Parts: sequence; structure tokens; C-alpha cells
Amino acid sequence: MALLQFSNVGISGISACVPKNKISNLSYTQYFTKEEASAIVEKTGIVERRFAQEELTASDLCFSAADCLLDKLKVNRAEIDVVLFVSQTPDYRMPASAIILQERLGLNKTTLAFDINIGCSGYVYGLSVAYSYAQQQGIRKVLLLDGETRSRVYSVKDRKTAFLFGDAGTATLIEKAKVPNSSHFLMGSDGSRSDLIKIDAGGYRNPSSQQTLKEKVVDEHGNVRTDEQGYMNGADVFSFVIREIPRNVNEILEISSFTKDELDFFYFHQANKYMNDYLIKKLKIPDIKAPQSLRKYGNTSSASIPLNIVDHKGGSNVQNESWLLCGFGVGMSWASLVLSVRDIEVLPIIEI
Amino acid sequence: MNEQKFLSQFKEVLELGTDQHLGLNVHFQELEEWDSLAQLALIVMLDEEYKIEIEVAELEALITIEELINWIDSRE
Repeated sequence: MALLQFSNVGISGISACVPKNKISNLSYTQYFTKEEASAIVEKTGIVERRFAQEELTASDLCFSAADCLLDKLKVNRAEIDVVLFVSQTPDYRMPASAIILQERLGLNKTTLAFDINIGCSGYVYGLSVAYSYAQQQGIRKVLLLDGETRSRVYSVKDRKTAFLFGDAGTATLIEKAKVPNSSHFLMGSDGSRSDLIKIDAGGYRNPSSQQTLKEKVVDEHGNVRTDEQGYMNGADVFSFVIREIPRNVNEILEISSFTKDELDFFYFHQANKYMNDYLIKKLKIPDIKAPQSLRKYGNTSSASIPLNIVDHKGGSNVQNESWLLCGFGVGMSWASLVLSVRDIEVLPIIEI
Repeated sequence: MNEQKFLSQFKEVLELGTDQHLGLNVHFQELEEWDSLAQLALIVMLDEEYKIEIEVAELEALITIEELINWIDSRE
């Protein structure tokens, strides 16, 4: 069982940066009618999203989030020994974006840096790696960068995905806790469902070619995409998530000996309102304890949990709360984390 | 299971009025009201009311409402 527990590590700051460029779903009608757009908005609850301007990448959004966070917390950048970049939309296929960010952020060459490619469950996976490093004697501070430009992954002519995804970059600082606390991680994977959310071509199994770049009608509804654009079998994903995630959440609650009443907030991956509402209902969590920001930002994949925290808590210092974080998606992959929050500085949202 | 109860639950999934007739032999996936959102609503209904998880491929292989009911019975 992938259960990780820590008592000596914590998060000290979180920030998030979104592009200024707002996309209104109700007027996203280049390829679909107004009626289709409003029906989709009604069910998904996603009214607006942010699309990165052409010159911006996920690592740029993370850079801005991190730069502000380190300044605001007055962190001595020489004390950052680890930089992790969680993303499936890195700058290059190589080198790893985390290494480029080491230099850009003015960090020492003695810093350990690498990328983590996983998707919607990625923030919790990233935290589990960050925590594991942070408890080492030789590691002082860990910077976890998590960003995506999902707006560039999917076809604008595929109604199954065209209205869902947005862009964001986030930064989280992890270090040894000043007072003892507790964190419990529980993760899982199901590779038999790797074809539920996927980009078929452009990797090394099906390399990029003229064929893979060709737009094709892919179903009886007339949706159009190339093999290098992502697709999602929404109903199967939904069916999987409502079965697996409540199980995972209930299990980590039992292991951590927290009850739902004792937890202050539940920050779920922001998939779509239909799915999130049903998850919350099935888990019998009051709406007010499970804030949603997908209305404003859509689904930003792995960045959605920290973005959601910033949307909810931005501009405050959080003392003595208990949270559950839960991410799930492409893989399929999922992860929950129950943590006691002792002193987290959450910056107001940053726009560039 | 109670067929009448299931039919009224299935009407709610399809957002049909209670007075509208829905027969056991109806090919439900050919109904005008059947779309991807009705599919999600049915997945939710089976999960909530019958504690049954259905895969989309399993669902798509079922033609009539009677077949759907038999499938649920076989899983309960």
C-alpha cells in the first residue's frame, strides 16, 4: 500500500499565477453554437478560464508564482536545495524545466532539480516527493512548482474537452516543521485505464508525423482532433472517479484518525462541477467545506489543487487547520493527503 | 427488482414527465433524450440507488430497458 506518513515536515507558503487572458465559455462559439456552449457551461459549471498568452509557458507561470513567494516569505534562496516541477506541458522534451528554473530563480548549483510527469493527481504526488526530501538532514527547503498549459493540449473542435481546461502555475514551499504535525498520503494507480485520458501520438510509441498532425473527425458527433491532441472518455472517467475516490478518501481518513467533521477544508482536484458536486455529495461533505474555483479557472490539471487553495485562502496566513487534498485523473492515477496546517502563508492570486 | 420503481427513476434520468410512457422494450439509447449527460445521470442513479458500478462499454451493449433491468438484477 502506498501510504506515507510524516510528522516533521510542513508547507510554509503557497502561491499561484494565472495568465491575464480570460476566455468566456459562453462566447467560446467559433466552432459551437451559443446553445451548445450554454448547455455545456450549465453542466460543467465552468464559466471562465485563463489561456496563457502565446509566449508564456507553464514554467513561466510557475516562475512568477515562485519569485513572488520567495520574496514575500523573505526566503534566502541559497537555502533551497530541491526544485521539483510537476507538469505534462513542460517547455521542452529535454532538458527538464526544473533545471532551467533553478537558474532563472537564482538558486545555487548545488540544488537538486527534476520534473515529475503525471497529471491531475500531480500536486499530491509532488508533495509526497517534496516531503520525503525535506525530512532529510541535508535538505533545508524544497520548492514544488506545479503548472500546466492545458489550453494547448486539447482540440478546440472537440466538444468533449474544448470547454474544460485552463492554464495556471503554482509554487509551494516545503520545509521541516517548527512544531510537530502530521501528514498522511495514500496513492494509487490503474494502468488498465491508461486509454481513458490520453494523447495518442507525439511520444516515442507513435512518433510525430504528418499523419499524426492531421485533423480527423473522431466520432459520430463530428468532434475533430489530431492524434497529437488529447482526448477524454468523460463517462468512463466519471464512473471510475465516483467509485475509486470516495474509497481512497475514506481510507486515508481512517488511517489518519481524522473524522470529516474534524477537517476544516477539502480541496479536491477541480475536474468539473458535475463530478465534483457528486463526489462531495457521495462523501457527505458540506459544500462550504469543499471550495470550488472551477467556475473561474476551469480544470487546470495538476495545478488545480494549489490554485483552488489560493483562490480560497489567498492573502491570509492559515493557522491551526486540518485539510484534505485529493487529486485524480489521467493515468488513471489518484492521491489523497490529510495534513495539519500550522502556519501557511497563502499569497493573493498573481496575474501576468 | 421493482420494475415500476425503476421506470420512474429512469424517467427522471431522461428528464421525462411522469405521465410519459416508457415501455420495457424501448431501445433507450435511441431515445431523443438519451445523450452523454443522460448517460452520466444513469451512472449516478445506479450508484446511488443500487450501489452498482457500470462501465460505459457494458452500458452501451444493453439495448432495451428490460435488458438493463436484467443486468442490474444479475449484479445485485
